[in-house]
Amino acid sequence: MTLPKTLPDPNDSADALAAVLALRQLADELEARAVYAALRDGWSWSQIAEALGVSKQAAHRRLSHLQTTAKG
Amino acid sequence: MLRSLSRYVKDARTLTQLCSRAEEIARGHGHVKPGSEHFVLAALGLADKTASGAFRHLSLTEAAFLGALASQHETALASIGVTRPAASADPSARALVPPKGSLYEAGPSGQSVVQRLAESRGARKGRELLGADVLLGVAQETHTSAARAFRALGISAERMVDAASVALAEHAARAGAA
Repeated sequence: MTLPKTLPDPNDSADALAAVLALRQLADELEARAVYAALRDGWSWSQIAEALGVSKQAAHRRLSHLQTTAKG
Repeated sequence: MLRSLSRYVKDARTLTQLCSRAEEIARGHGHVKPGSEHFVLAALGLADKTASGAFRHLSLTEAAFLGALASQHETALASIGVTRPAASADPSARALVPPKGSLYEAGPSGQSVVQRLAESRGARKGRELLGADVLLGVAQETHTSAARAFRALGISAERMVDAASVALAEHAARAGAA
């Protein structure tokens, strides 16, 4: 990842908001892939939740479908 | 009365088909809820061929639209210095998406498209719902992924409306001749 020289001009709302949307989508995908890999490597939900900075219940509720994928 | 009821049923069937296909396409791209860009892609597959006809009038292909969607995503990330990691094949984007819930739910831009299609009933003056109507709905958007992709391809809302209108007129002529 290369660091930006400048952030989008906040006055250019369209470009700044499009960047936020793209980043959110990328973050969601990155989270799913990382949790999938962690489950495949034998991490527990407690460990995953701790690493994500959320409660175990919250992590399991949102990402438990990846357990089946990782086992498959 | 019977004709009106039959059209209502047909429109409902078309809308269901669009929603279902848009959801499938969205999930294939790793999104839980379909946005208006997925409804555009779903409309291209409808048997009435009015959306694909409008694309043809714009000299636009589905691949070019998909390319513009991906490109504006990359550009938006690049503006904050983020380069997308190389795509990983395992698991597929679809496998990362939670299973379908019992209730159908579109993303905000997808919801707007569905609402516009429902509201277009009056403007259609009894005409059945067709794929090009999705393009007319999306032409009203300004800041969605679909709108930005079309703009990046040099297609203004006015050109989109013109192309969709021509495709609808051609469909009406074909139906009249049959």
